[in-house]
Amino acid sequence: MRLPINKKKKILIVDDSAFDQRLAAKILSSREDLDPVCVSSGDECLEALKENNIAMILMDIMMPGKYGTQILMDIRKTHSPIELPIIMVTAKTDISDVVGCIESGANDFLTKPLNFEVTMARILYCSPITR
Amino acid sequence: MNSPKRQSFRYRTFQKDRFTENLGQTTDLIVDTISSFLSTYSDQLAKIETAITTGNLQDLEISAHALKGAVSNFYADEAYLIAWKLEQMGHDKVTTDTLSLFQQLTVAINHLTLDLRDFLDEITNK
Repeated sequence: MRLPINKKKKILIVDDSAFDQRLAAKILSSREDLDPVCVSSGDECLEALKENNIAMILMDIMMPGKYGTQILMDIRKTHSPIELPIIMVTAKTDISDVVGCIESGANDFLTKPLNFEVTMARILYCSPITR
Repeated sequence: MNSPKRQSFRYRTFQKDRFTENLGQTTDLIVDTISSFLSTYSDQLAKIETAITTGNLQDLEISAHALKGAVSNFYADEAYLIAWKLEQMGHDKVTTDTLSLFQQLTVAINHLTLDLRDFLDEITNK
């Protein structure tokens, strides 16, 4: 029996690349209890947070307009890491980017290309509601 | 009359085993990832070209970064390296040779897409 849509946990994917959005969404869809929702910018992310019951966010660091780390800091003004886990995703691999994300309030960090098993493990670890 | 044989790179432009392993050897995900790239790469290249021709270095950095991220899924080293160089040029506000590098990127991406189409044919015709 399929899980009804309202029983699934919404995972917000924030990435300006349609390709990367689709890949992340496909990976998350492998778990029946996850419902990936995609947006392309920080502004769309903040709007989605107002309207939907978002359980977790996967957010790209580098996007046009506001950088992911800035959006992360904005979200952390109203949502703690326990209330709303946020995993930052990036192709950048500088240590300063990793440290910057963690200091800004990220729960964890994923590097591109996304590895299927690592992505699922980090999502499951970060969110007690998906365990 | 026979149509000319399509040029084959025999999977030399990307690392097939690393790519499939990274996606858990899940055929559905592999097919979807390749198909998605094949339908989006020309838009991504167009964004980079526009950024270069309009002199918008911030857009160059962002669009090259996005394409670099996409090709990294296939461990396509040549395309990745050129996209990275263009990203760095955008970041460092360097405009010398960007068009020449973009032409190299176009060639590398075109070769990659031929290889990916061959691989897609192989896995969907099994």
